[in-house]
Amino acid sequence: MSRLESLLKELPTRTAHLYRSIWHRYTQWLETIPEVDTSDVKLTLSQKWVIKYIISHGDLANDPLPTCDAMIWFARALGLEDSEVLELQQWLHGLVKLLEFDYSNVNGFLEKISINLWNPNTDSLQSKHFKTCQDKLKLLLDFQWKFSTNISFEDRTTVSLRDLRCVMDSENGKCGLAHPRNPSFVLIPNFQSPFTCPVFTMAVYYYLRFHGVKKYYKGDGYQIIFSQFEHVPIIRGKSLDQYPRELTLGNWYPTIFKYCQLPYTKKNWFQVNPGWPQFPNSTDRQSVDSALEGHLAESDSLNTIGVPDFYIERLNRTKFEPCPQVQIRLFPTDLPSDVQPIFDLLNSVLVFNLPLLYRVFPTHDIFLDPSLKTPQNLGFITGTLPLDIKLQEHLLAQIIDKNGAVAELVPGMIKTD
Amino acid sequence: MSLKSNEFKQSTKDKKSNAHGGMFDTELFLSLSINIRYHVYFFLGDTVQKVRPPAKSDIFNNTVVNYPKVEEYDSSLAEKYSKHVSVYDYIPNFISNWCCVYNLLRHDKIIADRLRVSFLYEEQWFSVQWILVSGQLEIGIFTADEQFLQLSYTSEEYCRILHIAKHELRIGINVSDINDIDELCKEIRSQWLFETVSYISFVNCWDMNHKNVLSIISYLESFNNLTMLRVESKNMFHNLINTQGVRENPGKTIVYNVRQNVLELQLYTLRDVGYKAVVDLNRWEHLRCLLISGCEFIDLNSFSLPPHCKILKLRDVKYVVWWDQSSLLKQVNTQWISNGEIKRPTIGNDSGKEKEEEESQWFKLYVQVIQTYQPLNCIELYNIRRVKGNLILLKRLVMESRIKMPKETKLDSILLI
Repeated sequence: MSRLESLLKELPTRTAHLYRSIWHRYTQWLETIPEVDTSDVKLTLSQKWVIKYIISHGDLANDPLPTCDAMIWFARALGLEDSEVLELQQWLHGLVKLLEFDYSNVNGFLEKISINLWNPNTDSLQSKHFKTCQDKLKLLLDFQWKFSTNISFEDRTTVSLRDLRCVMDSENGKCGLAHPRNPSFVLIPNFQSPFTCPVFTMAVYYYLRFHGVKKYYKGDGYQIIFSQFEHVPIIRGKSLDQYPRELTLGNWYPTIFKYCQLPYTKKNWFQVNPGWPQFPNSTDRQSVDSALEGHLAESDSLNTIGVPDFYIERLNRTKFEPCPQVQIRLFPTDLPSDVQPIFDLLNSVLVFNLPLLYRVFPTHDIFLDPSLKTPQNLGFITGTLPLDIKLQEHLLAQIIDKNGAVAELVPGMIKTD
Repeated sequence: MSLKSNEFKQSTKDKKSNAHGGMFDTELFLSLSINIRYHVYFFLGDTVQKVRPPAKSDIFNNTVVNYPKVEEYDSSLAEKYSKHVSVYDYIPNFISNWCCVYNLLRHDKIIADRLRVSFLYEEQWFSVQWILVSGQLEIGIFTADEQFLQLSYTSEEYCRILHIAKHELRIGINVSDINDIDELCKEIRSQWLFETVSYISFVNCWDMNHKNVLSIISYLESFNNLTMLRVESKNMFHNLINTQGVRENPGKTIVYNVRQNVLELQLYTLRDVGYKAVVDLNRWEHLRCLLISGCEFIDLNSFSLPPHCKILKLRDVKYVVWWDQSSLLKQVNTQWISNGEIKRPTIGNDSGKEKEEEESQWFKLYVQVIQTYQPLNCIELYNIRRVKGNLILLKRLVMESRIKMPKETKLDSILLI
């Protein structure tokens, strides 16, 4: 207890009362949970319960800082190991950032960039970089990925497709793509806004990348890649097994920001943005990782790969939803067992959202492929939309070059020149 | 103590108290002369509430005071003053007891008289501060350490109690989480009450970047009767008070005009003052009085005081390093010392050159001793555990109790000159 006394000297009196009061309320809450033994300090102060406590109380979630500070103080005062205190501190600081961050300030960037990069007819984009839809989607995936996970460019280049784990938890109604190793992150499909959803972007991009479009451009093929190469980057550059160089993307980004008339700061998209929330560092959870070996992805009712679901949902700005059942197969079914679930998920997301894409951008490269022109597929694509087109109107209004179908969809917004 | 409990029983009309002895005769007591009442109130200290939160060192003790259960109380008060009392919710029945006597205390004649006497004698038994309660300015009566709100009056009520006009009020503002300084100052401005603020305290406030600190600094120049500053934490002391090594930092430091007005600085719980660091208060040019309280260590050698600072008060300090007077001790002729005093050598009839020489030596020493204390002429020590160093004090000041050395302090040696 002497440690507590010496730490108490650092606290102003009123703050000490406040901490005592926070502790009192917290332990009272813990007592309502039968599985917690309150006599075990370590367990009492584990991030799992502290975080659960904060997010289950609305008033605390609005102003989490005093509670977090108090918990860190108690962790130090009650004699937890320094490493444990540090871990708790990192978690809680991440939590505060997460709870206090207001995405509405930056969402405009995501929407404007996304919809314009989906647009196949960008006539006023006089750039050699974006000749095909695949190039646009390549950049868009990098952008949306960074937006949803806030990981640095360098970390993005190290992620291999083979290390991705597919979360397919029908019991708790969850699906998504997880990367349990460093940098850890989880991407979940956003069915309300497919154009800003990195998983849908990835699905279309991967179709173009691996399958290709017959007569227009050749796909890389599926089988070769998975047997030959150790590292399969999420987006590929010149060579099959490498991420595009920083210089390349460093040229692409300002081009598209300029086209969209948005201010561009390189470090926001190439480095971890300290003002934005982040996924907790997975080196803190090595025990979790080792338990993960063998499992495809660990998911229970509250956590996915050891990250609380509300973290994932807030960073992805959407709720977890079960994977939709689809009839059509666009991705192969005979892939190695470790990557097959990923492509199953991509297939579902792709097929589910294709009718919407066709309605908005019927000239998109993907529809040039003969396999999408079979009567059965065509019937599906032109069939019922997965969601009301009206919900996408504010997004479509931000398109710079409004041609063809878009012009009809956004009446009154037609460019006269 | 018995008097105080009687006073409550009187006001709460508790029938039980009448069983022991007679009822406390309020009218009789108030008809006594003011110096009797003064001494009674002096011993009553700063408590007027029925409840009082535990001292800082007892906050984390498991033994909590048991306050009696209160059935009927005005729970809207708890809501209204939640900023002040909600941190004590871990003490059973604390808030209900607080609420239950709150309204009675406001109409208690004895408390009104205590406030009046305290005002007339300019005593700081209570800390009286502006607070803002649901948009209304109120005057809060806090305990002397400013942590705990006991009751509050509207300014009209308070002026009526003290029999003074509003503009004669001299009260304080506390810059901490109990106040929203920006709102409070706006309200003070709208009622033209700037001149009522005589002191600002940063008790329970240590974060320089807190929005309260930023807003008070912008308002400081408006308080033209501001004469005292109170600072609690080391951080605030180094950023606001100690000008050693502080750069011009507009908007974050106290400006010249304000510093000119300040006559008194009170520093609380700073742990160590002047340990391997210079305490330079020269820019507080009109400072008269410096109070340091609740420190572990003070090194007086590192102090640099402005020319008008005459009074130094040290309270509750563990270890004080006195001004280094060892070089002066070497100049002391052992023959001069008798009864712990360095006596001026008497010049007899045989006033030879030798004697004159000796006398001038003595005077030289005397002047040097005076210089060590410059500009101070009043030093008050209270509850100091240890003073290190061989002290040479000025006899003239000790005789007039301008240097007060408590008996219980451990000292090396004292010589008077």
